Amino acid sequence: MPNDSRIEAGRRRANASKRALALVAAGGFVAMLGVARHTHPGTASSGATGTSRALAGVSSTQGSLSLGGGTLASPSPSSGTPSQVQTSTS
Amino acid sequence: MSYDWYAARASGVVAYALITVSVLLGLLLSGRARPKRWPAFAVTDVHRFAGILAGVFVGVHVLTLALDSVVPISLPQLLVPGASHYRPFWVGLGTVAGELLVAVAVTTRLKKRLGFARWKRWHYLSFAVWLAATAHGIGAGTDANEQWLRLLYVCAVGSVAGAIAWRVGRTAAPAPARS
Repeated sequence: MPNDSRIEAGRRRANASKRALALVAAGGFVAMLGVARHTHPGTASSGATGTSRALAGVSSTQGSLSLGGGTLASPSPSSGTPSQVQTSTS
Repeated sequence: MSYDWYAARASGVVAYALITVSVLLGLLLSGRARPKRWPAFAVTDVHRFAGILAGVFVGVHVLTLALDSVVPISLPQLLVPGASHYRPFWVGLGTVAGELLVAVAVTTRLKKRLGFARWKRWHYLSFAVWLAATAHGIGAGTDANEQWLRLLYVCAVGSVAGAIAWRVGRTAAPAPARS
């Protein structure tokens, strides 16, 4: 029956497209993970704007704030020495 | 290294791309475009699958944001629009988009019970989902200033705007004259 074969062909195409869509989405997710890591505010070359964008409006109650490779040490009131800022990029 | 943070951003971008694909296929269906090799049921199948897959990535986006510590947002803050301390308006738009997506999914599941006309009215919420997701990505996305993501937004907005224009044009076009 030509009608049956047309329906069957449509079904096959739909299944193939769904598989392709799932693969592209999974591949895109993995690729985006890499891109997100590369353009991470703490490691990207344009990190200054990225950091300010990512952390705008965020108040941290923790003693120190870690952004990937860089660490800002919190000031220690007991020591009386100026706080040290360590930066490293990876 | 915060892999939750990377996963949150990556899943957000992929979810947005999938929502765009689903909206484009929906417009193609409602405009009754009938490519010879693509029967309507096949396009509907792919359209639904793209929506479900988008829902999965939205779920990953929400969960990884809740787990992540770079931008500390709790799960309740992610579920209540405007409750987040970080860019409350733009994050809230993302919450609204996610919740509307759930509404679209539920009403599609109840399509038979609702009837076609009522389901169709509910299904128009898909445009609100896409619009809110676009604004959320541009306003709250950490990578929104990256060129590749800007290109994605331009392509998505351009293609959806073009598809809407095509769809409206098909509705407004006069029926072919009978000879």
